[in-house]
Amino acid sequence: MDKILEIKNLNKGFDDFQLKNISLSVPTGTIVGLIGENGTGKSTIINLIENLLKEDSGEIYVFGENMRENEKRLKQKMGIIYDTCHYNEKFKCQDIENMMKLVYDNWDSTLYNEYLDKFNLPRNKRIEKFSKGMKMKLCFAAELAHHPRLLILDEATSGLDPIIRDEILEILQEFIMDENNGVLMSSHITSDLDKIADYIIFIHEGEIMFTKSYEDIHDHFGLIHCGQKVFEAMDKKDILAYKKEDFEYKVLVEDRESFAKIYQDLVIDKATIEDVMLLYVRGTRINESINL
Amino acid sequence: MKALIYKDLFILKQKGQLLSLLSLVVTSVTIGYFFQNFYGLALIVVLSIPVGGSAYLQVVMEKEERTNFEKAYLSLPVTKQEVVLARFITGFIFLFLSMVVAFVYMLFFVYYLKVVSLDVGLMLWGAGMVFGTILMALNSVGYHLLGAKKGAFVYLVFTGVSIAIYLIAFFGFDMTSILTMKPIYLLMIGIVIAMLCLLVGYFVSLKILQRRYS
Repeated sequence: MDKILEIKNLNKGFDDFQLKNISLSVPTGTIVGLIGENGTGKSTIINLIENLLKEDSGEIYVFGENMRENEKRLKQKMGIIYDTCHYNEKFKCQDIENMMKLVYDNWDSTLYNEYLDKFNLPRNKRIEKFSKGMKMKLCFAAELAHHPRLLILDEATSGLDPIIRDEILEILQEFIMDENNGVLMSSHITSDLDKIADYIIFIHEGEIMFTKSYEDIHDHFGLIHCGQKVFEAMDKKDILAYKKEDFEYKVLVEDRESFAKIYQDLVIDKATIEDVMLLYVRGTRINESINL
Repeated sequence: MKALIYKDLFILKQKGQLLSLLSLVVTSVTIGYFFQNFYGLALIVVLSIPVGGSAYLQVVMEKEERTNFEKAYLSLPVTKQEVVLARFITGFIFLFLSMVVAFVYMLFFVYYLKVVSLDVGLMLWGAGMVFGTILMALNSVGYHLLGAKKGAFVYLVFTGVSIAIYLIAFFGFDMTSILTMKPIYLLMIGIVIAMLCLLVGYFVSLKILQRRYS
């Protein structure tokens, strides 16, 4: 499988934060979810890809080419959507088209208008009159209308109601139907990634904690709710992380089936991405790194 | 880069900017009515209109700061050099539009009020164009360094200095004789200074933008 985006050993230091040795890739035909709590470096990675920040060290390749050396040309095939719509509030849909077609060689007016119709976006209203959901849909229409191959979303679904989020997830699924395309999606709304992500990259305090396929997490990771006695009886080497709550322990295990064979009386639920993230961040980690 | 110029010039279509241009005309006509002499013409053509005309960048950047538009278009396939160059070009377009108003105003003083000769009028207009270009270049550094709001203070400082220069130059010396003595020579020096300011302003603004996104 070709890599549409590849980051190698990326480092970036700030006064109070350090992005450490980030390596990740987005294979073609996949949606890669970047998860982690606020301030862990998700947006920093995206800003580095977009050259809004300059890395201290490391390399970024898009479509196999060095991003820094071919930025302008490579960006012709990339689309980025942030958590808010950044266009001039006085713009109408037509103004965005007028601007974007001057930027992108592959601008497709027909496709843009199809998206405007599909999203029921009024053409005669200024953006300032749009709701947040409408603004975000407009951003999607504008970014998809130049036929990007790589789409990067930086918390693009945050602050949207579930219906609009669902619509956007559908668009992403349609986009990825073309096997040449790829999506890097940063989000802390893990339920969105549960629905569409093929791979999950979990970042914590500027470091990648793990990269797993969604299937791997879904099929193997387990969550156990148990009491203190049961918890104490568990072999800790089988546990990834745990969290002691008022009346129970929450325990995260990496291999649900193997664990179930040993502890046959325990009920082991499938762990969601949110469970994994919460236990990793707020719980106590026993095995520091998950096998990649 | 055409897209960047488009989005900057789009602001001209907004009501506020048309009013601003209109107010420039109304102010000029009002001042012209009360000061129908050489100094009145100089006040408008060399000082007021170039100062107002060089302020467009502040308007553009203020509107961009409201929506963090800069971040969005830096993600487009454009270079930072093109971003700064586009700002200078749109700033220059607005200055030129303002100076068209100044030109008509100058012709009114030359042919209707007959206050100055065409040579002197053109010389004043050229001086205004040069002065506006210098101001635009210097203010650009202020806006890139401090943002639109704080950068406006830099603009005010330059405006204050400009007014002081106007007062000293036009009331402290006999400017008419200076202008008639070596008009071409003076204008050439002014153009060279303006070009230097544009170059320095462009590269310093670019450096500031690059440092902000590094």
